[in-house]
Amino acid sequence: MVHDLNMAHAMSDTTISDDAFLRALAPHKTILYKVAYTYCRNSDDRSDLIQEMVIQLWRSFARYDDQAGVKFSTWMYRIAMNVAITQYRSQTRQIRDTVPLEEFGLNIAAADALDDTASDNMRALMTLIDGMDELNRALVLLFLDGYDAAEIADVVGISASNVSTRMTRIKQKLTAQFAVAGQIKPPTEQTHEA
Amino acid sequence: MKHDLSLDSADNLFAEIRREWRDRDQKLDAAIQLNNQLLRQTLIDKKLVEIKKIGFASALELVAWIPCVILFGVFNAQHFLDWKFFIPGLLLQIWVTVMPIISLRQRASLQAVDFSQPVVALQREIATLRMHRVMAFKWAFLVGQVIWWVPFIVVFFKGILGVNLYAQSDWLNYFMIVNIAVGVALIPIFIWLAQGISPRLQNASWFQKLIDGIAGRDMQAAKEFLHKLESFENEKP
Repeated sequence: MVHDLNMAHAMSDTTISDDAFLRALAPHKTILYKVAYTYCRNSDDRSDLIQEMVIQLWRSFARYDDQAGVKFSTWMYRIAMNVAITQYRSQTRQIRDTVPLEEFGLNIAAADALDDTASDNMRALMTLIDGMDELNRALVLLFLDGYDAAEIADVVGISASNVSTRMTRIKQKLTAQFAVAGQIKPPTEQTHEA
Repeated sequence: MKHDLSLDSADNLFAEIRREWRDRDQKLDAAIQLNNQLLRQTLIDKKLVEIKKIGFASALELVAWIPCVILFGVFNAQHFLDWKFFIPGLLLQIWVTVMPIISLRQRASLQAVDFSQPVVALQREIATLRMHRVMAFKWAFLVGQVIWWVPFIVVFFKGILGVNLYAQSDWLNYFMIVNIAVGVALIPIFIWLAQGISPRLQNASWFQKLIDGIAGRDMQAAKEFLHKLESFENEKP
């Protein structure tokens, strides 16, 4: 009887916690896709990676405390990136017992289809990101999502000045690569045309 | 053709890309469908499966581990002053005691990893755990191939069948000494041979993973990543 009551309490607590988790997750669901897409181009592996991210977020949710001043999106980025980088670095598939993502509760087919309508800039950007290592990819993704140097530093765990320096270098490198790829025109030509 | 691009043009380009990124984000938000009811059920199912799996694995380990520790303990107590049996028995006792403890500690450390740490800190922790795991695996294999051969046979025959292999014939004694010597000599030879076999390819077989573990390539990869993290973290602006 006591056991049953404890189980009932445990299940009730679990349900409350699960509901809170799902409520918090919903407005930031695109983070899952963006991180997975940045680290994984194979759609099956991406589907596995998203499941692993959700499970890790859900496991860690009990430790998340929004009173500590950490935004849910920042906390979510940390976990999603850590899961993605860990999987990216392991040369074999670590995830087992995964199901098709639709059966898991997420449908990203329409998101994948957005690839077909991506602009040349976006395609070129993704190609360039593919050539970067796992740590710099994290910086670029956060930068693109509008995070400033201090916020990126908080997620990645390096100083804000280090982030700024690295981002300046990355931007210059990517701009040069964009120019070589013909995505932008050099400043002289732009000035001339203007 | 190479262009000398200014910082301004980089900023302009990335301001444009950021705008496109925001547009894409809005489209993604509309495109990704989250089924809360199904997701909640899936997560609950996963939790139950995990609890069952952990319980089963722990039970299996205890069933395999405890009898081994007891049996070798009894054997060693019975042959405490008889070094020919006590030493191989002790080696096996140490093995069956230490290896599961290392395995349990590693698993506990992995389960305790907090994925909400900043990326560099978490990746450093995982790389360090990986180094420990690779080191444990390498020496478990190299030492194991020695003690789970002749020492185990000596203890098995004496403990289970009551046969003293040392007393059977001079030839058998000679055979056992040579086998132990060969096993010990094989440790550096295995490492040397493994280092000579080509590095692993993606989706490596278990054999290739074993070879990489013995050769120290996995260890090297983990060390290199730790250096990379250090350099990433400490670069002066």
